[in-house]
Amino acid sequence: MSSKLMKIGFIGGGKMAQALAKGFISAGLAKAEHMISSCHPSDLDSAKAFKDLGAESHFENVPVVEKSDVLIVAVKPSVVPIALGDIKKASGIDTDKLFLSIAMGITIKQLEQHLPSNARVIRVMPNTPALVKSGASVFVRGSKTTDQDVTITKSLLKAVGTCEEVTENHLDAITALSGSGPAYVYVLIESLADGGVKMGLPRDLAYRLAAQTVLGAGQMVRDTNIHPGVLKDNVTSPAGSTATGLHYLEQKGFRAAVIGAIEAATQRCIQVSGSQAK
Amino acid sequence: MIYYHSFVNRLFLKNFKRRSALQISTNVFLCNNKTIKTQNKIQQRIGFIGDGNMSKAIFRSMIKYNLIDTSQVYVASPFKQNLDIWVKWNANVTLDNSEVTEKCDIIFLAVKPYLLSNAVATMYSEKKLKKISNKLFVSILAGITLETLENVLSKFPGSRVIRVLPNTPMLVGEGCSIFCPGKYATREDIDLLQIILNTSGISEQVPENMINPIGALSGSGPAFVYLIIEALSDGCVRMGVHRDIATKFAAKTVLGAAKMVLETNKHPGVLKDEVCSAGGTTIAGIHALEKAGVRGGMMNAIEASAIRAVEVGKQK
Repeated sequence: MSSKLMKIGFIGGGKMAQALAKGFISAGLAKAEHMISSCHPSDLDSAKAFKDLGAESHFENVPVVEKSDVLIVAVKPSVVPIALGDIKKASGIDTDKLFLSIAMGITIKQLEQHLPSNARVIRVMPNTPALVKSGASVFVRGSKTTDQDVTITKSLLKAVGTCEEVTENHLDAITALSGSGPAYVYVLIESLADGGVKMGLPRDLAYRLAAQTVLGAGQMVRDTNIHPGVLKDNVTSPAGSTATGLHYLEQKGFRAAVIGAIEAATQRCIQVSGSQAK
Repeated sequence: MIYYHSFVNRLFLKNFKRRSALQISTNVFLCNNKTIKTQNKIQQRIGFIGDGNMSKAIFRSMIKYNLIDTSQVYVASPFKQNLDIWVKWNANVTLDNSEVTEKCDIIFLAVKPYLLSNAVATMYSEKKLKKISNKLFVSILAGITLETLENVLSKFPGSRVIRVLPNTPMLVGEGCSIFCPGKYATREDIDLLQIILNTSGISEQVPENMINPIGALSGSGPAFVYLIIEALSDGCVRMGVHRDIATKFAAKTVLGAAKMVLETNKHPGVLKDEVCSAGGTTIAGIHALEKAGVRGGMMNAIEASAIRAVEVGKQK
């Protein structure tokens, strides 16, 4: 099977699944008419979204597996055992396929337990900016994953942003960082804008500038590979406005707050995945 | 240390342990195979108006790095008991400021800033005025501007001023000084001052408005670092380590880190990253420091010190 024009199936059709679908189509990796998703009967919006793309939408999981080469497991974590149980129970379907799970907190071990033994699993942690093709995704190999599976996974994830292979033990910290991270940055953006508004800027201008500033700074770090400390120095002229603003942030323990947030979120992740393992 | 004797200039008299009576005119110090400084002795007489810690540091570093003989040094203080230590060091001492001003070529003004006018008043005596001309005054008074100094010293014909902010680690050859010449200071004056300052560390000429902010760092900074060293040591003792090794290692760690910054030219953030392995002990410690707002605290310290310099300079 070539990595081009795959038949991709989505078990679960929510926002993430839709974002991925759109990304795969516009990257030319799949055609909508070969795409199929399964949504909950009550989830009419998701069903419509897929149909609008030109894809098929079902209420059942098994047809999705039957008609696809690569499966994206995109149901809510609590639903995973049920959804995958359907597939395991079904007889006569070919499950010697690649299953990419984006369900948060569901481990490789759990996935492999819930699925038939010939299913090959990759666990993925994307993040919401995949919706605008600026996702930061990571993936973990399962025990039976082939190199081709990895190649396919990379090309799929790169359609919606960046992608890195990691080991499963890092996933809690990664969830706290790139998974939850967008939320911290939304808080930063809103605060930057609030500050701007307080100092007299119109709200919409403040938001546009705040967002673009964060985006630009992110790109500077990512694309120049220069240490953020050096980049900071390059903006901070002696006794200037930047130095003053930075001083204020340091006085308020900004760095510690951010480090603490990652730590707290990671610990929560561990707690949650611990309780889900039961 | 190995001394290479180059040539003889004049007889050298006292105080230097096992060396022969031959004066060493040019000293090349080899220490761990690294040449530190090559410097001739200077011929000028050096005076100190004010006997405090900075005067002592400058004097002792000049002696240690063989820049002058103690006989070339004159110190004035209003308190006889303060002069005892200088007597022990074989400097010339006096209670009369005008004697120092008259006899010396370079005069360090090292009184407390608010005592400047008093000190200058007593440096001056009607009959000696003729003799007190063409002097180089080096002021280490925090916050006192060149304008004030030039005003106050205008009664001495031909006088030039250079304002300096030195620091006490001159005593161990790691001094860090900044200076700003007054409008009459000559190239020779500046060169001479730099000889004095560079023998025991580094020096930089800066615009006058930079003296307070940089001074907050280099002048007061050693105290901030002593605080850090003590705190590191305290932490270690708390975790069960003997005080001696705790303090020694704290100091050496600070020294080593400083050298890494100076010699590798890497950004401190980069160096920090290089020590912080994922999930390791160092990053745990860094987080504790961030929680304590240490960065903000450091920035506040420099700010407070620089602001205080301005206030002190305005005190009458």
